[in-house]
Amino acid sequence: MTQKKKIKKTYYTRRNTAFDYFNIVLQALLALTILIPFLHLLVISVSSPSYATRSGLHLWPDTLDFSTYKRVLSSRYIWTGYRATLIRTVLGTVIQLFMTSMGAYVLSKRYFPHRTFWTMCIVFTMYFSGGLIPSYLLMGNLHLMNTYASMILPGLVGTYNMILIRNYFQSIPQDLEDACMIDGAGQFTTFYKIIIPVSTPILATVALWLAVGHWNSWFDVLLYMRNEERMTLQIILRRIVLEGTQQLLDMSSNSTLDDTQVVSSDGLKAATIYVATLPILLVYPFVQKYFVKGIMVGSLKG
Amino acid sequence: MTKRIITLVLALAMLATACAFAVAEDYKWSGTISVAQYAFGPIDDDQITALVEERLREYGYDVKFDIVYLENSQYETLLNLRLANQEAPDIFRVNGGTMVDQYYQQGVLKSWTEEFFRENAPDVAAFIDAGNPLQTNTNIVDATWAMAKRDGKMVCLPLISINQGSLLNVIYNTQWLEKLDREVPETLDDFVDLMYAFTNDDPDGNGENDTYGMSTTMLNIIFGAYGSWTGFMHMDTGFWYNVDGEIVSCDVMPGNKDALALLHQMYVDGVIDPEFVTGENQGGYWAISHSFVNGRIGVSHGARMTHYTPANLYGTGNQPGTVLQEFQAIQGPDAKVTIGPWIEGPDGHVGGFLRYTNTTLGANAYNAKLSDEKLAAIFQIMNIFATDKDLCVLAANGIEGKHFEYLDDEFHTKKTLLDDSVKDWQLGVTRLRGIYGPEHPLNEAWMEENYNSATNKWMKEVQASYKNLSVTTGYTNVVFDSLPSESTYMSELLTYRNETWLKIIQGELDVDYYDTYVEEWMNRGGAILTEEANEWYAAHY
Repeated sequence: MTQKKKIKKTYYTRRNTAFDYFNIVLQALLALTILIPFLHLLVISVSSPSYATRSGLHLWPDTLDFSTYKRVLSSRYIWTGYRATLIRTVLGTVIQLFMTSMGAYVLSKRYFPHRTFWTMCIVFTMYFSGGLIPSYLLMGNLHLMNTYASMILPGLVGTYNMILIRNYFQSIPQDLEDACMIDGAGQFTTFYKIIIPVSTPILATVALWLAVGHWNSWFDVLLYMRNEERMTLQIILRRIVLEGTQQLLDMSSNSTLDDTQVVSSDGLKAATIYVATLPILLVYPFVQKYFVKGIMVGSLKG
Repeated sequence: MTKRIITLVLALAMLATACAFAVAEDYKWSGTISVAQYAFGPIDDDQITALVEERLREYGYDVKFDIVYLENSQYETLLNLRLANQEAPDIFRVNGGTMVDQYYQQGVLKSWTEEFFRENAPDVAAFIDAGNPLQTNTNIVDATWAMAKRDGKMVCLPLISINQGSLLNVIYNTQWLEKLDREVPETLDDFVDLMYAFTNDDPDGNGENDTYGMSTTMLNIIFGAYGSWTGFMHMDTGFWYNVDGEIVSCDVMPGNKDALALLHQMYVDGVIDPEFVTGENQGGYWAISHSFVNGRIGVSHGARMTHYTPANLYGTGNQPGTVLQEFQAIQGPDAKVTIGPWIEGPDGHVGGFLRYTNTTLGANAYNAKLSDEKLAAIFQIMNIFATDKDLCVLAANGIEGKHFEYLDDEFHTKKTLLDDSVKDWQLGVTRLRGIYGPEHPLNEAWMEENYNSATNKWMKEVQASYKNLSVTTGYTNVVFDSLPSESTYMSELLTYRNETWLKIIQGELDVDYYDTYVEEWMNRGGAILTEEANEWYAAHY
């Protein structure tokens, strides 16, 4: 049984200064400004409809009414949206990570001929883009309309991510590789068995960015997808939240039937937002440690 | 023997071919028509289109409809992409004269002559020719044909407005009026007096000074009382008025100066809600005035009368209007609103926003790749809708007994049978917009039924009860189509106007600055637009 003794601190400790208190208070306030809208939405989604319409900040519901969640979860499109988003995110992240890291590995080798030239070529693409219409025509001509490939292939190897991973690979000592070669490993074996496991921090970081990017993207889905079953969650969410906000045809229509048919209640919109964003909100804290490590780790060492 | 067999086979073959030909020739036209008109969302479970197609087959048209949904907020981008990739639908929507001009210049619009249209859709043409009996100040029929044409040929089919127009109305909180024992004001002085009372005399009876008279949407009524309706801070209209033969923009009318002076005074006295800058609607359905339904202000001008329809009108058992439902949810199930008239100003000017002009905003346009034959078939199908009322009801209202029911025999008030979770457009209702007309079926009988309902009777009664609330009192635009330089100057002029007027109301600038503002407005492109407006007017009247 170890005895817990009060150990006298022998290392230098900084006293909490006024700045520290000020900093803590400021950070707390900042955190509140971010959390309060989430709380407001949550409360609206479980309140009764009349309470939800009332103006003002709602920090506590009047009753607990889960009917909006029932309605949202019974909508077929939420589930197909989830399916489409998951397929896209998982496939996209895995394939993109794979290709990006392979490209980064090649560029990290100092003995790669004309390395600077190839790196410059790739970096050059960060500054220009073809534009919307050429991209659309390209997808059309490649017959990639209405496929998951149209969402994954265009941004397959992101230059920024690749450079980040390349820098990390450069920090891995060459001796490690030489040791592998001596043991008889080929290039691919070295890559899969040694380099990748060693680089988990940076790969996790990049994977997180890719995953979040895929989860959130909606514009390319809007352009290229035709089939309603393949619309991702963000499109469904957008439609539900934005409906009825535009005056255009409503202004000219005079049919009383139209008026009552147009909008979902605020509660329904709030519930939809929660259903769509909750998974990613829950996943984020667990990968956050990699995120923090990875930022620092991506910098070039020596 | 062989000869017999051969003859028999040949005869059978000829018979089969003849049958095939007979079947094929039964139809006047056969094919697929794709359409992308205004819609609220994609179709979930189409229960209507197949039935309409069947009925059209009886008329001799073997048509298959392909309804394309292009998201409204990104509509132009998506349409441009499809046009670039040669896969635009046959019929699509265009949002206004500028867009028509752009597309026409790029050669993506099909053009046809007026004769061609009259030949293939005579009843629709007659409908357009009938005009609008309430539109007394302009020659709307000629203007409609003119706005559809470029270089002498028709390139689009404009939206044909409905009789009652879409009046936004002045709505008062009845409970507040009763508490203060006041009447609905009809003149400007009475109105301003009421506003002060709403602010200072605690109309909601809660003992706190937390109410205001008015907010954003009512600003324009004040402008209307001084001779011009601008849409300032609500919906910019770009109206042009005919002032003794000259066409003047609403933004530089002389009456605006007096209106601004009054508004400034009211603002300083706390009668106008300081939050008027952000507007009354806080997101969600555009017609809800959150400031009004939450009891912060006492009068609003942001919705139509139909949004506040009382329940069970004339015993028809109808639902209350959408915004009235919100109001009653917060203010109590028996809370009422009162519809008020336009406010008459000191010089006798009076009026609000009237819009029953036909317009190219939301008009039908046709893909340049269409053959004349196909276009003729499209117009003929539109004509079928113009003559067959039951088909219109099927396409635009749904199946009786399944999607809606008639509440009464006199007005044919319709009540939806669908619950909240499903909207009728998800089932295919109104999704043939573009086929039966740009917006609604161009069918007299159908319109009679849909727009002569109990609600309309109520609207007419309310309108008749006031001197200044008829459908002819108010401000309309005399220049129907967009001007050539509008896209260059208009947005900058509007920004300048909004900034200047806000500063005047809030006191940062003096009211006399208005004269400088008018000069500046002219210099920044307003003079060019005014000239073009005068030219347009001279050419079309």
